[in-house]
Amino acid sequence: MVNNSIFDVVVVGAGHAGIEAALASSRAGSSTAIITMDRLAVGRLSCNPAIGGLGKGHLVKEIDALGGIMGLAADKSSLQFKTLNKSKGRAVWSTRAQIDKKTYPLFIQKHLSQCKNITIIEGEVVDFSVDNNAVSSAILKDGTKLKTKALIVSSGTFLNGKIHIGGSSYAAGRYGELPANYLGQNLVKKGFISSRLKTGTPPRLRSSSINWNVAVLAPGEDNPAPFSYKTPSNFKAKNIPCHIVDTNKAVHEILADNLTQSPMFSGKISAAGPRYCPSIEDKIVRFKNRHKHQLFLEPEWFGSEQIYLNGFSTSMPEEVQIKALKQISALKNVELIRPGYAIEYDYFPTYQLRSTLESKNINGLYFAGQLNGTSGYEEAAAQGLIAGANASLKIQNKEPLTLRRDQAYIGVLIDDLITKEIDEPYRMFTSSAEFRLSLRNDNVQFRLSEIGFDAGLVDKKDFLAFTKYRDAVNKLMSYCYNEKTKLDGKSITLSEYIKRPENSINDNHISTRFISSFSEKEMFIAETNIKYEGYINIELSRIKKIKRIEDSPISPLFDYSKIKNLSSECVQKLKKIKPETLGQASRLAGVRPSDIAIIAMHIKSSL
Amino acid sequence: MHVYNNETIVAQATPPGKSALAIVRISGLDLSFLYRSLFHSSAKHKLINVKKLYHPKTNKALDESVVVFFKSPNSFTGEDLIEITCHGGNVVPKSIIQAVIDAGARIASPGEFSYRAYLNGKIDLCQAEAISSLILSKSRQEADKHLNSVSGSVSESINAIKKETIDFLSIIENELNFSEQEITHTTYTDLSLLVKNINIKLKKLIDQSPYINNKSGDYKVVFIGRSNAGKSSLFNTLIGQNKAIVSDLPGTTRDIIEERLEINGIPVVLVDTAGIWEGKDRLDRLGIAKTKDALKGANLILLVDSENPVSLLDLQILKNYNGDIQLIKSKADIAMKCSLNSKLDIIKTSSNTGLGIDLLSTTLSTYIKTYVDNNFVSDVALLNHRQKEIIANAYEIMSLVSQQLEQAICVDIVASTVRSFILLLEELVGVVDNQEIINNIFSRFCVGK
Repeated sequence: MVNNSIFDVVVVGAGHAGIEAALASSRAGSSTAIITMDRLAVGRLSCNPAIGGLGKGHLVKEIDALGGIMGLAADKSSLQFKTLNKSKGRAVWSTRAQIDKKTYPLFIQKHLSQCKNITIIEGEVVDFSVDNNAVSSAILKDGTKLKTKALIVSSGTFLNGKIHIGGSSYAAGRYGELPANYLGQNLVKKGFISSRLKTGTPPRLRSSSINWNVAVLAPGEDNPAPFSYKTPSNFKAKNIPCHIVDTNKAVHEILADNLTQSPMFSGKISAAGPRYCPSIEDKIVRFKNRHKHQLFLEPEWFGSEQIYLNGFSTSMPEEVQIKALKQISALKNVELIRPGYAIEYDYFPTYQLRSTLESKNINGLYFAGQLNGTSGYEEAAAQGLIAGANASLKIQNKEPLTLRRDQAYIGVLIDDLITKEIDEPYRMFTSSAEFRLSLRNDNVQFRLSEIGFDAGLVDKKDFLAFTKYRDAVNKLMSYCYNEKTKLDGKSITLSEYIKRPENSINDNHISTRFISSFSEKEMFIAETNIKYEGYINIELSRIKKIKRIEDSPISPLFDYSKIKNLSSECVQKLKKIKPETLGQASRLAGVRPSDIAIIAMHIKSSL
Repeated sequence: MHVYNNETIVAQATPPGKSALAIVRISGLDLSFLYRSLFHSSAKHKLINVKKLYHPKTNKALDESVVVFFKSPNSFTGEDLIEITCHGGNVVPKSIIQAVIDAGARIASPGEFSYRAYLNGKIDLCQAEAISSLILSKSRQEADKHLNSVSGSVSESINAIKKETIDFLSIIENELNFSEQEITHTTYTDLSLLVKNINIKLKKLIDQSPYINNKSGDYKVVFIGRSNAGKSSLFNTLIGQNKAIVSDLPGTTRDIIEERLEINGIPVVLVDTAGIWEGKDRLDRLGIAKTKDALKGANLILLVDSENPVSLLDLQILKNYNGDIQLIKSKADIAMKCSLNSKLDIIKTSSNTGLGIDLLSTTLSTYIKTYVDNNFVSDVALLNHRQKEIIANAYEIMSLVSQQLEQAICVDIVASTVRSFILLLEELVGVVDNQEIINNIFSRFCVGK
C-alpha cells in the first residue's frame, strides 16, 4: 500500500522527538510519514511518569508556544503539578507535572490521527538512499522504499540498544521492545561517527505490596499554572499525591556488598551515564558520607498498581534490588512488577549537525532526540520540533527556524548540542541559560508566538488570540507607567510602586476597576515586566554587546591553520566542528576568548 | 584600519633625523629568502650578526649593520622578524627601507607590528595598550609601570578577579539546578562575604593605580584665585613661557589653560583658571563654570591672593574638594596693606622679582613626592583611561550585587548581574570584539612599533 508513496518528510520513530517533528513538519505544510515499530507505543513515556522540572519546564512551555503538543498532552493527562524553585525568583520558576502514562500516549495518538498531513506507518527504517548528497528515500526492513525529500532520525535508545540487569544483558530498544540495529550501522557506513551512552531506569513496584502508612505524603498544588496556553485558566489539577521514603544504612550495605554484580562497576558497561541522575549504586559510592537518600514513590497512572521508584535507578540483579529495598520499612514486603535496568545505546555526536539539526554532510537528513546524546522527554521533543520545522521549511525554500540563546531555552539546548562534545547524556539545566531574565515562563508567548506563526507552526486563530493578550498586557503596563498613587505622602507612578520588592499589582493600595478588569495571567506578566525592568535592561545590554560576535558567520571553508599562534588543540577543534558562527566558535571547549578575538579579526580581514 | 594580509612590512623603528644608529624592522610570514638576499647568508634564529647589507636586486652594498633574525612564532609579531641596526642619519636607513620595498615589502602603517602581534596572539589587548602607553610615557616612573603592564600584570590581576567571580557564580548556578528540597542552599550572608572579597580586590586595583582621578593620568595642579590676583603670571613663571594672557584687567583668563611638565619624574599638568569673581557679563560666568570643571580630578590647588589667600578657603567651589591645598600670597613685591595673620603655611611670591618661586617649586615637588609615595605601589601596573573606566563600572556592578544580596533580591537577578560583571572583565582583556576599541588602541602607535 505504501510502497512507492512519496512524502515530503519521513520521521523515524514516534517517541517525543518524532511526534513533535512530524507535527511541526505537517503544520509547516509538508506531507509527513511517521515510521514506528509499534503503533501502540506512539507517545509512550519510557521512564519516569513526569514531564517538566527545572529547565525542562521551560522547554515544555516553549514547545507549546511554537505549536507543539507536549504541553497540552501533559496538562490533559496530569496527576499532580508543582512549581519548583519558587524561592529563587520568577525567571527560574519551573513547572513539573506527574503524568498518567496511560492517557498521555492515547491523547497523542488521537491527536496525530486527526492531522490530515500525517501518515503513521508500522515498520522499521533500516537504511536510506542518497542522491546528489541529499536524502532521496527511506528504506524499510520489508524492502519498502518511501520516496522523500527529508528524513528525520529520532530513534531514541533503539539504535543498538542493549539492556543490562545484573550479569545478564540482551538487545532491546526499551524494556520488552526490540532494538533497531541496521539503521545505526548504515549511518556509520555513510560516514557518521557514533559513540555509546548509557542511561538507567528504576524498578517498578507493586502498589499493594507497599505499606503506605509509613511513607511521607507529598502532595502537589491545588491551583497550578498549566503548561499550555491552550489549557483554560480554570484548569484544576487532579492532585494525586506522591510519597517519600528514605534509604538507610542497611540498604547501602547490601548494595555495597554486591557492587561487583552491577554491570557499571564490573566494567561490563563502559559507556558514560549521566552524572546528574546517577544510579543508586553510583550514589552510595560517590556520596559515601550520606547515610540516606530520598526516594519518591510515583504512581504511573491514575489508580496505578505500578509505582515508579524515583531515585533508585539501578542495574543490579533483580534479587539484590529486592533485598535492598526490603530494608526500607514501607517496602518490607515489596514486590517488583519489573526490575530496574540500564540501557546502553548508540548516539551520534551532535557536532555533525547544523543549528537546524540538519546533518552537515548529507542534505535533508536530520537528527533529533535521544540519539543526539540527550536525556529527557522534553529535550527530545524540543529537538523534534526544530528538526521537523526546518525539514519542511527547507523543502519550501523558506527561512530556517533557529532560536538564539537569548530567545529560548530551546536555543540554548541546540547551541549547546552543536558546540559541546558531551561525555554524559545532555540534559537541560537552568544554569545553561545565560539570559534567564529574558527567558521566563511567563513571557514565553511574547518570545515565540510570532516566530512560530511566521514559520507556519502556530495557526492564525491562536496567533490572533495571542496578539489580543499582548495588547492587553501592553495596555495594563502603560497604565501602570502613567497613573499615579500616593505613598508616604509622595506621588509616584504605579510602576514605581510595583517595583518595590514588597509590593504587588494586586495590592488594595493601588487597586482600581481598570486593573481588576485584567486576567490574573495578564497581571502577572505585567507585574514581572515592571519589577524586572531594570535588571532586564542590564541583561539586554549584555546581549547587545556580544551580538556582534554572535552573528558573525564563518565560512565552512575557512582555513584556521593559516592563523598562526592559535593552539593546535584549538585549530583541531575548529576544523572538526566547523562552527557556523563566531558565537558558536566561542563556546567550543579549548577555544580561548583571545582566540576568538584573533579569529574575528582574520574573518573581517579576509572579507 | 589595518587589513591583515600576508604582505611583508618594513619601517624605521627609531625616530628619523640625525643619529649615530637607526633600527629598521621587517616582519612577514617567511623572511628567510629576504634575509639571504639582503645579507648573502642564511638566517638563524636569535643570532646577532654583523653583516654587510646588499640591495637584493642590484647587489650593491648599502651598509655594514648589526642584524638579528627572529623565527616565527618566536618573535614580537609572531611572524618572521628581522631587526637591522644600521648607521643613522637620513640616507642609510632610507636606502635600506627602499631596498626591502624593492624586494616586495611595503611600508608599515603606525602600530602595524603590534597589530600583527595581537592578531597572532602574542599580546592581548591590555598588553597592546601598555606598549602604546610605554612609547608615549612622559616619565621614567610611568614607563616602568607600563613595562609591568606589557608583561601582562593587568591581565593577571583581572583574570584572578574573574576566576574568583566565576567561582562565586558557580555556587549560585549550581544551586539553581536543584530544587529547594534537594539540597541545602548557601546563605546570602555567606554569598555576601565572597562578594566583599572580590570588591576588595577590585578596589585595590583602582586605588593602587596612581592618578586615577583624571583622564590623562597626570598629577593635576590647579590655580584658583580672584581675578587679577596674579595667577597667570605665576603660572607663566613656573612654565617659563608666556602662555597665558597677562594683563591688569580683572578676568583676563577666561578659558582654562593647561600646560604639562615633569617634576621629579612625574608628569604634572598645571591648570590656570579664570578668576573667582562674580563677573557681570556672561563670559565670566562661563569662565567660572569652567573653573569648577577644572577642579574635577585635581590633586593640588594653589589658592592665590595678593592680600589674604586664607579668605579663599571659604569658597563655595572648594566645598567638595578633599585634595591638598597650598596658600600663596602673590605680588609680594608690591607694598600693600598686609594683614597676614595666619598660622597657616603661606608662600609669598612675586613673579616680577622671582621672590618665592624656588620655594614654590620645591613645595610642589614635596607634594608630588608624598602623593606618589602614598599612592604609587610599584608592583601594580598602570591602568589607562579605558581600563579605569571599565573597572570603575565593574566595581559599581559588584557593589550592586552586594546591595542585592543585602536586600535579599531573588537569586535569578543576582546571577544575571554577576554575569554582566564578568562580561565587563572580559572586555577589559580584549575578549569582546569591539572594533572601535581595537582601532583606537592601534592608531596611537607610531610607525615601526
